[in-house]
Amino acid sequence: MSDKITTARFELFVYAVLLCIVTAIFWSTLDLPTSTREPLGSASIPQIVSVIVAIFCIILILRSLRAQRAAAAAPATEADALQSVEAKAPSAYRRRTDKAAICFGLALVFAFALDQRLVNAAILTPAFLLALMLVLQGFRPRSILPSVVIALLVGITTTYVFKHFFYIDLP
Amino acid sequence: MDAFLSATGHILTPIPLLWCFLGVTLGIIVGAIPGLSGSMLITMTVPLTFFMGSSYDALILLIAMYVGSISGGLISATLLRMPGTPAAIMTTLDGYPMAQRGQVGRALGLGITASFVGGVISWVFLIALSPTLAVWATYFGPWEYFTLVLMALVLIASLTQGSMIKGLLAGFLGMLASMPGVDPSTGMLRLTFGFNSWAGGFNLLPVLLGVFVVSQVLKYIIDAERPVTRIAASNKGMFMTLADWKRQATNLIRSSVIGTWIGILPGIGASIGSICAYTAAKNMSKTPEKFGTGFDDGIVASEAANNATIGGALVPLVTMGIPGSVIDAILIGALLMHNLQPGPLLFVTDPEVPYTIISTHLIANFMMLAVMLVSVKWISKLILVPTAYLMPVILMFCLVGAYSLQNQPFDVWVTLAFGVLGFVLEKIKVPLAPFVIGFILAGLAEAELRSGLMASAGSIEPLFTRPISASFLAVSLFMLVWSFWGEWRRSRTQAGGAAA
Amino acid sequence: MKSILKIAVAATAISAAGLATAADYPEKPIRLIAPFAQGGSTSNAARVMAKAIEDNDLLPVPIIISYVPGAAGTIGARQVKDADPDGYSALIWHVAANGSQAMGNVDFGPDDFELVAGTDRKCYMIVVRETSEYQTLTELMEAAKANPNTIISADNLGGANHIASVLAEDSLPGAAFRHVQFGGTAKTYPALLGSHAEVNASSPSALSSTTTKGLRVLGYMGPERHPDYPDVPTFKELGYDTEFCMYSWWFMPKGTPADRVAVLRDAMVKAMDTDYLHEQTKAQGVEHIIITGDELKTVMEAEKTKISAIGARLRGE
Repeated sequence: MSDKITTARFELFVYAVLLCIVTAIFWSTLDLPTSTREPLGSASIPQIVSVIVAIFCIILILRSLRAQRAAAAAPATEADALQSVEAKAPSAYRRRTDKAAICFGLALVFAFALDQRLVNAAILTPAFLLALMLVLQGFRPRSILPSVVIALLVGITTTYVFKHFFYIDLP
Repeated sequence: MDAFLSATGHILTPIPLLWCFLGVTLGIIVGAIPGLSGSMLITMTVPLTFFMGSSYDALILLIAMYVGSISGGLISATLLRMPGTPAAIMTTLDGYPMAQRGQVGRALGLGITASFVGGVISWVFLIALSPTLAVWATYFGPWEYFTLVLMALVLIASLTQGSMIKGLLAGFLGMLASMPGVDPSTGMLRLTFGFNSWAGGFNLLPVLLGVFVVSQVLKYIIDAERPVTRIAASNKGMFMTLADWKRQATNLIRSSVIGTWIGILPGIGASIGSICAYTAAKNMSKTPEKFGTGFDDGIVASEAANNATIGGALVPLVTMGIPGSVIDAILIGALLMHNLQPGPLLFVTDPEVPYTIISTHLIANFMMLAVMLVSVKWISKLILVPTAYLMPVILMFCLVGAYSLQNQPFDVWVTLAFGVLGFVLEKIKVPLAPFVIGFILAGLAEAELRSGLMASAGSIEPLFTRPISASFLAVSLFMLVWSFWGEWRRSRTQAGGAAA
Repeated sequence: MKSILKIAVAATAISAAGLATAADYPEKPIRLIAPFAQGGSTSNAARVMAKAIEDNDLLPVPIIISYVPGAAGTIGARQVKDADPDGYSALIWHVAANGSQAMGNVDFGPDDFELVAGTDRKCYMIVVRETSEYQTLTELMEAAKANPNTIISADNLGGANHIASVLAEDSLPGAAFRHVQFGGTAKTYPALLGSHAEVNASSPSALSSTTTKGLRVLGYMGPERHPDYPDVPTFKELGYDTEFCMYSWWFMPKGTPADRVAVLRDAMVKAMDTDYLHEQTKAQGVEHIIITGDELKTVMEAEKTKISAIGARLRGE
């Protein structure tokens, strides 16, 4: 039940963010010049699309609010029962949102290092791979050695191939 | 015809055959591993195809991957009760129960054979329809293309499962994401928010890598501890008997035709094709109650149809340059990057290109049959590779691949950003396929509409007076009204049920 | 042409003498940015030149090409503009160098670079459908004057074919086409064949790559007739005083030492003389030339003046 409410709140949050984004887009199209060749110009289509997106967001927000209120009023509807059955089956395992977040954080660090050319790619890629593998394995001692070997092998080969065979301008 | 023969002749030489074999095998393996899909494999391969020398070989590799990946899904659907690719979702319903009963070989064999038949039947449509349609499409002008794209967008939004509004939201969000950068019509800059790096817009491949690869990797990591039980594969009873063939003939043909037709409709692909064929088979069966319990007809309908959508989906791709499915959209991107403008003109200027696609589709189907029958036992062992090693490598390839496209770190950031977006959208059940189709088609739709307006000096009259564009428009409107009405009715019955 | 070569030879001799002092250049690969996708004609020109220089050992280091496509080349160009002027960055670009500035999309242009050389001339030609009612250029131009703004020209707005089409209509006062966005050759050709547009400006290399089947060439915008189309009159012959040719421009970042610019230029001049480059330019349907020195300045200035004069019309204002 609580899981459902967090999901609904998350949904509301996403639509709200989308609304902000489309407002920003609409606002930024206002100073685009019009065209003499046809009536639309560069600005019209982005404006139309952002208005449509905004309308959909508002409909979905209203819908989600109504569903929440209905759920709070009558917690045991048929649809609810169906969903809780669905939810029960996969909830037998632990969802590792924490690991996914750490991995994404590592990916951001990797992208930043690539962007700023901080480290040579031949060091950066294996390090990135190793870090990810260790996070996913949970630092089990038995898995460290194969992880190191695979990370070094894949990382260095990839860097070499991309740099010297494909002429990619990696740091 | 000459072009067809020379294209086929080219494919039947050792090196193209090798690429074809590699593509099919990789496709099957990736298709079989749950969490990895054909879209992922093809997106990640496109940047590498620039180093292949021949763009024909690149096409051969990509089409072979397409065929392999849609077929490979049946292995994990049967053995793990998890579709290896979304396309195989209906196969789990009957494949897994049959395998549980101990008829593993039979379940796999039915799926493989049906896939092959579906592929070949759709190929017949592909080669029969394409050249004629291409001639017809040569006369398409801006208005026709605009309404065709509009129809594709409505179709995909209304036929994706779940909420129509969410489908449409996804489509329009995709359109919005494609708009920063150079205006596709007049070449003016817009929506760059003052960032120089946004001038080129968000490129297709980084967006796809984000939406399909990064988001899926994240999702996979979250669900990595989901317990699975695997049934061991077996070759026993893999070949269909004559009696089987007789019993399944109608089902095979019907499902393949449905699959092909769904494939031809722009924008929608294998999953929907297989659902429609499964439903049709169930509705027409004398024993509908047997579906879902490990019934032959269920496996055959699902697998024949999902493979048939490939050939169908290639029809609008080679004739009009409009994607018939999400993977086709990636293929169009790849063609453009290889400097080939997909569209009716391709049959005139470079007939080898469409015919390479067409011939590869057929040969890849034969190769798929051979590879699957011979090696399904070994491939089934690969489907549970330790994710802790696989996912990091995929993520790294995806980021380095994005960087290498144009030597720009900006693309890496785009990939990560769209990865988060894809993950979030999927989490709140907004479908990703309309997003991608919207992203790809928005520029085309806008450019065509504005070209039409420039040509008509600002009048929208041709939209209604040109017969083809008027009929496309009518179909789109009908689909829109029909699906909204359907959704409204559904929500009313649901509300009624809740009140009772 | 000959005089250019002579200057080039002299320049080589000077730079050879200067090598004693500048001997430490180049000591690492030169990064050449081609601001377009691989396979396009400018990207091909870059690849062919780099290969000719490398295969004939005209430079002690290789030239490494990075393809940075997007926004008519301005993204890659900006990278070179902002790069260190140490002689290890170079750019190949075309008429968009002037066009993008005239469009108002970027605030920089050729003046913000050191100009190395211009190569590969492609002059545009005006084509119509074979079944078109316009048999000659004069008929077309007079019709465009009699009914201005009705004859549809298939253009890539802001691009080379648009510039060429605008210059063509300008050669007869009062004549005007209706410019409609279609895109590159892959889009304009079907637009002509499908009767969605009437006229198009196209380069000979684009024409030969699609085949001229179904098209009629009315006029050529070069200084003299094109060898592959001996029957097609030039605009000047028919009394229309206009010319439009596109060049590949080679740039280095502003402030790159003159002797380092000269090293690359000399290598290019020598590369132009190799059989390999001769064959390749011929295969791609472009004129095999290299312009340097004063002539380079004049040609670039002329292009700039021509395009900035029609800037407002390119923007559609």
